[in-house]
Amino acid sequence: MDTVLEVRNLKTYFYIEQGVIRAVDGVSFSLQAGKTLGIVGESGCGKSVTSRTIMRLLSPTLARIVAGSIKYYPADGAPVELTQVDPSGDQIRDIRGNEIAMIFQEPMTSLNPVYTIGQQIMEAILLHQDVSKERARARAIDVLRLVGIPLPEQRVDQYPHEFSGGMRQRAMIAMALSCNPRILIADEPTTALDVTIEAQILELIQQIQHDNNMALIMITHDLNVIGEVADHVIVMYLGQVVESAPVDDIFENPKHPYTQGLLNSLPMIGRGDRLEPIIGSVPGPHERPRGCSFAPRCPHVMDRCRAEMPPSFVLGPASDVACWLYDETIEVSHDAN
Amino acid sequence: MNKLAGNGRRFRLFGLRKKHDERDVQDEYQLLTVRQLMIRKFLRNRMALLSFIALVIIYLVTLLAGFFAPYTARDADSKLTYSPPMAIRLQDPETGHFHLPFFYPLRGKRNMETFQLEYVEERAKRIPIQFFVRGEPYLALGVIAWDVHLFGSSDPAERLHIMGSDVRGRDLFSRIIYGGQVSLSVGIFGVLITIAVGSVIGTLSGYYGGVFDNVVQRVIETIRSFPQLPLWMALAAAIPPQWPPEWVYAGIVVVLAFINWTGLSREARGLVLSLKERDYVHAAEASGASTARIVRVHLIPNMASHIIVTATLAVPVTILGESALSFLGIGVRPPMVSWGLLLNDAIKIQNIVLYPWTLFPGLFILVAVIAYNFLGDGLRDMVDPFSR
Amino acid sequence: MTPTEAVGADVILEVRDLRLHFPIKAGLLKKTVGYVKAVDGVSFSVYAGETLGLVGESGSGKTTIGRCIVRLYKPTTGIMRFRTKAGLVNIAELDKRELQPIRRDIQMLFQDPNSSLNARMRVGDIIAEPLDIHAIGTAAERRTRVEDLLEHVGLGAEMYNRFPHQLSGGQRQRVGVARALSIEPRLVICDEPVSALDVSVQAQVLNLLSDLQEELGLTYVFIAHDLSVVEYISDRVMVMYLGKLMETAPTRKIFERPTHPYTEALLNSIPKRIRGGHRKRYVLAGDIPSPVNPPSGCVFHTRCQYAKDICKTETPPLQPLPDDPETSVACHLAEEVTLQPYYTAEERRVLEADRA
Ligand SMILES: Nc1ncnc2c1ncn2[C@@H]1O[C@H](COP(=O)(O)OP(=O)(O)OP(=O)(O)O)[C@@H](O)[C@H]1O
Ligand SMILES: Nc1ncnc2c1ncn2[C@@H]1O[C@H](COP(=O)(O)OP(=O)(O)OP(=O)(O)O)[C@@H](O)[C@H]1O
Ligand code: SF4
Ligand SMILES: [Mg+2]
Ligand SMILES: [Mg+2]
Repeated sequence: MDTVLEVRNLKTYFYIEQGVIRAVDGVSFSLQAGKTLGIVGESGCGKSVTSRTIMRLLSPTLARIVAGSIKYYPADGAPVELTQVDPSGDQIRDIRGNEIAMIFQEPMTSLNPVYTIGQQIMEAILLHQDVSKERARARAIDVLRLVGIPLPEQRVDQYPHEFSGGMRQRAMIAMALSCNPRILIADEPTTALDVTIEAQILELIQQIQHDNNMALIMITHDLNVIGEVADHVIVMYLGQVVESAPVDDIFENPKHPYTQGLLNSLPMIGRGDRLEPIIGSVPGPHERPRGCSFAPRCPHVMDRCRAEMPPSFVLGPASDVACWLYDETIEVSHDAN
Repeated sequence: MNKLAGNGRRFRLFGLRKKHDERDVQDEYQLLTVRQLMIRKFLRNRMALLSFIALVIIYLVTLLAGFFAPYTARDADSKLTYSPPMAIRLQDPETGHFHLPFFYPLRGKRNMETFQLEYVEERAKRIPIQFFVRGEPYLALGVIAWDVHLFGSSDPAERLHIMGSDVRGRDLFSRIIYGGQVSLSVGIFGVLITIAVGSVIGTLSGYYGGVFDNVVQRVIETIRSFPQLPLWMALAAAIPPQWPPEWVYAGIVVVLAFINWTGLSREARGLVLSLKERDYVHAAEASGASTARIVRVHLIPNMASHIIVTATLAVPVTILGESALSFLGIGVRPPMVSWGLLLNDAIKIQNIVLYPWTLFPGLFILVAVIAYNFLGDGLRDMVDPFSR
Repeated sequence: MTPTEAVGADVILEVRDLRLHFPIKAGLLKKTVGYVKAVDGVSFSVYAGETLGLVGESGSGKTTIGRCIVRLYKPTTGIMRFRTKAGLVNIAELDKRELQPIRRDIQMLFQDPNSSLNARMRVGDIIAEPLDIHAIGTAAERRTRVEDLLEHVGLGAEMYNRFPHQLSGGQRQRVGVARALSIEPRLVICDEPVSALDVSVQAQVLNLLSDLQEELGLTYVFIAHDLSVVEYISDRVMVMYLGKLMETAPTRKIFERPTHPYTEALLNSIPKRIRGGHRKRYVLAGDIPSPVNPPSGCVFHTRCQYAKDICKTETPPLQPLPDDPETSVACHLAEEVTLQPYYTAEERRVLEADRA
């Protein structure tokens, strides 16, 4: 298939006064054109840091990529190793926004309050495309219309505070789409919004993805959203990918105890029976357990889990799981499914 | 059955105690109490810590001015007017021998061309500096009669002026220490009034709002619409000239607090407005807590540290204000001494050229003001101990 | 007091025509220039021992209703009759002193576990606060009670001397639960108590709440914007839009047979996984209008796909369906249109087959 992005064993650490925070600690996935990768996990598991690392948006004084590779495959030309490019250089600036665009979690804070929506979209266009101001403005109006903002000719001259939350998120999407990116990274684009607005935004993103054959990375903590939009899902816990599988497998045949726990904790309409939460809560960034990071909360934990970190076991063409229960080389009872 | 997933251990509601124990050993952040966190944050700010130590020393010295100052503030010597600072020596410049600390007395000689008094060291007379020397009697802490000074000339006839002397031959160093009593206490008293008035009015107008708040805010805006120094000057000038110096001192304190309370009151009001919308206040209200209880249990503890920061940062403003007024001659009056008043000696440009040591009080003002600002900075870090 | 209408013996709270209009002040003299009609004529009953879910978009007035019931706000107009030992009392009218005994019976649980606990107080003191306020028991008795409560909500008595920052989000929410339960209320208003929590912790708190309800016979009004949470915990659901109730019905019926177009739109907005593909769904256009100038007639008519002329002019009352008194709906077309349930018949068959 048409792979556009390939991430292998990515590790991004924060070096702060109190020590090292291993925010992303071994993330691998590949992304195909026209497909949606869902990244799901609880708060603090490193979803946003992963996406910011791909965009090279983290300041190198604070965060360091300590291992791994991020390969971007442009439409023509040689693959680009994003971990090697200068995070403030021209090369990444050409890719950022133009080929890989991002929508942020907070629609309120990611728009600049002192510029009109139109100015902000035009800036994005003028940065990457050699067009006149008039063309850029026309394009800005076009994308605003595309994302369903009524009366875009008037709205283009309004300021962010004159937009409602949902409309701001649409404006963000308009900005992200203004250069027809090949990859869109959406970091919790609907978390701050009502269900009805969330439905509008998801519908919009999916439609644009379909029309432009765009690859989408959908980051969220909401499994219900993942179930609706994703083709392939990676489940993250404490900076690591614990399971990676096609969406139907994740929901119908989850392998990792954490994925199983998440699904058992998830209220789903019509499921009826009592929720079975995972015990305890996600440890703080400084207290990563030894061995398997899920071991303190895992119902199937074995001695080995506490001592050794499980590697990724390949279970199928597109399915991996990082759990000792799936180690075929030793005898374990496979009671997980 | 739900076919989704494995036989996860069933969540038992009341059997969780042991499980949580396992999680107790955590990040140290979670092990410290609020107070410990605050102290840790403060200690992490080196400049603030240094400033705090410096201020403690300065205040101790001024508090025990009689002991630390070699002379009293009024002790004059007409033979040594405008004497320059005298060097404290350990080594004899001629022989190169080392001695215990000593100084050479100064002898005035009139320069017959300029008619200025010029001082030269009398090298023949080496006068040792003595510690815990007996000298002028004073009242330690205002009550205990005593006459021991930390250091001084071993020969009462030969005076030691380590920072020079003034027009009447009074020791500048001693006068600075005594002046610190006024300058630094004006800061403290002014800010105490500021806190008392500002936080009460601010809390009330934030909590009750309505007409009272409206009136208070308009009054504050009016006061703040004047430039600070001219307003101070106008108010200070209104203090009756026939008042005794102590009254004038109190008057100046009030004048300085008159503007400062407005800033603090706004701060307090803003805090109350935001705190009273916190859910824990709502929870208390929904349980029927009285207003007094909410203010006491929820508002004050959460406001106190912010108020202290604002107040700390208001001290240097007050100190500067007093200095400015006294420097201009409308602040405290002789025989009281204050840093601003001392600096008044340097008001004429030729004095600065001829007697540059009259600027020493300015240095003390600078040090105190900067130290307070660093301290305020450090306290500000402390106020929000939860941010890492 | 108003002449008592017939109120069923199992009704713990009866709300009639509740309104809360927040004045909008502007200018130097703070003149009132308009009103935010946060709650605009709402009537419902809460039955003892049930969980009544309250859903609606942001700004629809859910929190405001909750705060009226615990009397953080005094309603502009309306009646709220609460069942005490002495019979029904209209708590909308009571003053501060008269409210004091009632406050022991109605407590509130808050959304944000960070702002609902005073960071400078110890967990034990936080939980004991309502006991302190009502001067219940001696200091020693209070301490024992708090330790019991801590055990009860799954925290352990050793948490007594902790500070909130030393707890995780879920643990903090448990402290909030313990505080609300410390004076043995009968009615608890839960204002989005799990919205700020992670999925795994959210499930813990939901289970805790339902276990406590069973054990202590509590009644909940459960506010949420997440319909799947509401479906899990509630016996009945009220759907709110722009300060008005659109529909009340038993939970199962809301999802299987919605009768208000807004309910239908909400259900359709919930993300849903259809095996092996994506669905095309109907999404509600536009944003919720401003509660300062709500639309005339049916407040939902500006976004309703079924709206007719009558909807623009006449306000439909909330009334029971003729064939189903358990369901009340405020829509002119309630009996004419057939609405989509959450699962289509086809999906339901698949789901049931899966479960079998
Ligand atoms: N600037 C930073 N400095 C230090 N640590 C950071 C920084 N940004 C993130 N982290 C840490 O990295 C970890 C991962 O954070 P990240 O923001 O990726 O989480 P997330 O999965 O996006 O969570 P959420 O669902 O809350 O958005 C967290 O433990 C966080 O504390
Ligand atoms: N104290 C207040 N003063 C003025 N307006 C208010 C006040 N509290 C709420 N409102 C307004 O009343 C309306 C209803 O608010 P409310 O908080 O009850 O909504 P909600 O349904 O709880 O929303 P959310 O899901 O965002 O919590 C909103 O338009 C809000 O702006
Ligand atoms: S490796 Fe062990 S602890 Fe980790 S998830 Fe698998 S069984 Fe649980
Ligand atoms: Mg994030
Ligand atoms: Mg609310």
